[in-house]
Amino acid sequence: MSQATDLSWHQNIDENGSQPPLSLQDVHVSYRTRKGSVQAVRGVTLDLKAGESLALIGESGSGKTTLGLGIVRLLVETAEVSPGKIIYRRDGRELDVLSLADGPLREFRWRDCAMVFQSALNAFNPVLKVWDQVWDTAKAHRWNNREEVRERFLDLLRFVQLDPARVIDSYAHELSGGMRQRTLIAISLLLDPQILILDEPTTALDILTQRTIIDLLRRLKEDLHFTMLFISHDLAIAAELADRVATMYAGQVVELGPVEDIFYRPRHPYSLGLIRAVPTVTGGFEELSSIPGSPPDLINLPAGCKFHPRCPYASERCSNEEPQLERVGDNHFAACWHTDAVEEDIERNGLRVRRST
Amino acid sequence: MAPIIELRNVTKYFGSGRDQVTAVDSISLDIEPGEIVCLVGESGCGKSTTGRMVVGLLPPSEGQILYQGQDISAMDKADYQQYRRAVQIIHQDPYASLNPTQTVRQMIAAPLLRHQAQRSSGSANGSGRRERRRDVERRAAELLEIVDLTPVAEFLDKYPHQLSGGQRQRVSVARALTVEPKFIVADEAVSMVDVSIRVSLLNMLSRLKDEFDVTFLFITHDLALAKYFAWEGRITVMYLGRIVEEGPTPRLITDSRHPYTQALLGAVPEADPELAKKKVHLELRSAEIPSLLNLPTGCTFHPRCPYIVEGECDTAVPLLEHISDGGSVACPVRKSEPSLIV
Amino acid sequence: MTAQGWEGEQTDSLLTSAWKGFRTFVRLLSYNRVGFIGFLVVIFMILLSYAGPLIIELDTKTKIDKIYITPTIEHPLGTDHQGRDIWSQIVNGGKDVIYVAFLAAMISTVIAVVFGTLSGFIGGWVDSAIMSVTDIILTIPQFPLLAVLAAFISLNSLTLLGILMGLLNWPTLLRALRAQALSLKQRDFIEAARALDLGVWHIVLREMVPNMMPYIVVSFALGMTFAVYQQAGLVFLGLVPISAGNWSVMIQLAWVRGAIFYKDSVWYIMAPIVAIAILQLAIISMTRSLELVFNPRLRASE
Repeated sequence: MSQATDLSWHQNIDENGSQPPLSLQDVHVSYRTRKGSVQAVRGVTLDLKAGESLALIGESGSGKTTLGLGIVRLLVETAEVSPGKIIYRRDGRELDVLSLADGPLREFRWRDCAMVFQSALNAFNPVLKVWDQVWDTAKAHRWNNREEVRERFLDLLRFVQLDPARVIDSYAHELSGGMRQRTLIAISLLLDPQILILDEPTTALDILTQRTIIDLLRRLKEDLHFTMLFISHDLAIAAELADRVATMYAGQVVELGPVEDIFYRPRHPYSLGLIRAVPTVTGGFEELSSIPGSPPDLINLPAGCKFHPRCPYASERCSNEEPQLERVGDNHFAACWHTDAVEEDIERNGLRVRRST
Repeated sequence: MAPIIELRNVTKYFGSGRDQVTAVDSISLDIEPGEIVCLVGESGCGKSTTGRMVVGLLPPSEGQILYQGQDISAMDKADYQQYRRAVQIIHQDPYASLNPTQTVRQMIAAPLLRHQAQRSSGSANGSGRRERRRDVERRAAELLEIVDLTPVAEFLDKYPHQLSGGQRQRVSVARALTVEPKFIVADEAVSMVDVSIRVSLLNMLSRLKDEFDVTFLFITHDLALAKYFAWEGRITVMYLGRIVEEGPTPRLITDSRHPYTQALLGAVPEADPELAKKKVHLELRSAEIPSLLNLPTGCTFHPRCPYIVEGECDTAVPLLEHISDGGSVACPVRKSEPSLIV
Repeated sequence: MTAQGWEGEQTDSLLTSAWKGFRTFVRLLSYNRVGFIGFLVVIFMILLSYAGPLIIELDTKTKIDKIYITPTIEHPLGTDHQGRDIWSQIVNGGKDVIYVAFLAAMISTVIAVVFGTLSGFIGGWVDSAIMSVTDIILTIPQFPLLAVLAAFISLNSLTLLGILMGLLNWPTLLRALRAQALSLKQRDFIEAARALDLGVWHIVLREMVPNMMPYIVVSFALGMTFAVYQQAGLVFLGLVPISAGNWSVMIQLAWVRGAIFYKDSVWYIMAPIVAIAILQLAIISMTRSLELVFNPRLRASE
């Protein structure tokens, strides 16, 4: 494979800039259904800082994908984002994403905030060759210099370590899963967006392919300092790629902090539960434990802390009062009444319990 | 003890003529009663095809599958029926493995009612429909309790779409248990279930092994899960239809010999930032999996393998050879070299 | 011995569960407005055709002074060439049409469901045999065949006509159902049923057919509409001996009497045509709702 091309045209944004490029303020998303309103996202406040990669971690029904789609406004019609505010900043201008008209919104999705979807095959038009699709995209954004577009796209394909000659005139179904995912990442970089949102970027890929995608994303992060938002159910993605991690449960961020804090000093019982539930290959032989119960019904959420029916530390207070994110360390926040108990548990029993064999 | 399941040079072709692919290429595998064997590999390696052949859902193209020493293709009707019930499968997708038109009660009752006559239950004969149904009802409740779907009454009348992924998998297990199987093929049984619930499912399966003497063939792409579930058993690694390495789990995880196993172990993303940073990755020569329609000659891994010996790896198909540390490896070049991974 | 029978015992009262089922049925039916209206019209047409004759007697008296009169209160749809009331003929003429169509659709659907599913599920020589027969029937031109048959057997019995039509109409549906069965067969829950040794009949009738119900019911309804036109066509061509008065016979008679040539007689020929059209439209509209009602997921989520 050829040496990775360096994408010299990529505009590195000023990392010392004071304001984060993306701010979510108390964002709520609900879906209307026959049975009632599904509270998918319930008040998420979050800043995505310039050059950082943030991982949104959660299981099915945690609201992570809804939140990601909400940021680029690709939610289905039955979804409603309200209340809440999504602010996007670039070069001193501020955009209120939720009030963008159709035209500016399309620009926003490609030039500012590009999303790479979970199902790479569905993202392609099956009757168009890769290049035709890229050219259509470029034209739609009034970039009509065919040579220039082609040059840029070839650069990008080389960057994602694909053989440009092979990919550019192929149909999506002719590419393997890993190649498709890499092509998709290349296309999403075409208009040099400032932020990249990746929804389950490695799910459904084979292990060796996952590794190549992870390595590629790491290069985007470390060499080009892309601002990235990962959405995944897979803790390993966060551990491999994130600077900061936000754990989501029942539509809220329940813990937020630097990756080491979340993985080695978790303060929310749900984060700890996840860590204790996931085995490692090269670590020791650990005892695993799962979190009892099932995710909550998003139409009839429990009162108080939404995690309390499954929480080993739950007390009377948890079933009545809902905790908010509070500081538990430098840049580390958790929404739990019993962060002390979690800390104590880890001190007493260790983070992961070694199994004696 | 005699193996409960034995595969002898089993091969499976799909399609014919130019489109013929060899999904499974002459694999042999013995599974002793009470043993846990994990079949690990990426998509297209033939692990699911192998699982379905073991259950009898697919006939092998060549070779034999033996249940308790008897070739299943040569069994008489009674023996085949016994085998058929003794070997069950748990599918991967909890959304596809349950009939959406049936309640949990119907799903579990159907096999119970059908096989009630054959079971040696004293109350079954002459006691009438009502009695028999009560029997079935009692048994269904017991089974749901075994798979931890309690309170039972809450689940009996539910339809699949009213259950979570984890609960559905439990129903699948309960349904398989209706016929008192001796052997269960768990085909990626937990990979589509939320992380927080996987472990309890795995633990439930482990408990079945101890309490009901069920032997498991656990098929997965996830080495970390295989390591957890089969720590006291064996892992068999498949690549493009062939077994490339097998051995006791601790040896295979900590001292793998086949370059493909090492590549997998090195590539698995770790849910631990320090481990993720420290981990050694085996650099492959190519990221692409060869097409099953056009398999490489010799060792099928040679176009990707960093340890390739030209003239050897690309000509001769390597045989599985025993190694002194336990298990066997199909790589004459690296079989005695200690692993760099881990 | 089936799971269904066993399930009945669980509910305390059969009446309550039936009432519950009915309510769910109506609620699902009403999700689609057009479909619900279609359903109501179908019910109305059935009532009109089966209960109507008890109230409104067929007018058989020839009244020379009342030939081809336009609608009056006494004769809401006017009269025919013999001065007989058309409305009474419409009320009395629907029963046969619906009966024959229902019988034909029922027979062809049952054949298609049973053999289509078996063919898809079992495969092998069973599949080849069933498909060969299907292809043969499919290639025989049906109208000429019926015409020939009519020459040998007298099609004076409606039941016989319905059965004959049913025996000829199944191949298209069978092919469609076989395709569905083939794809269902790959599904994990069918594999699980095979592994559990539940038997071919259980798998076909309890596992596969319920999952094809929306399609089957819609096909049944469409099969009825086809059969309505088919019998109208047969009667119109005079292949079926005219016995009792029904909508098809009315059209044929009107045609033969030259009813299309006079302005005043337009009621005579249009009344049965419109009656058939309304019935057809209602059945087709109803299929939209039937799809919902027989979708297992929707039904169960109620």
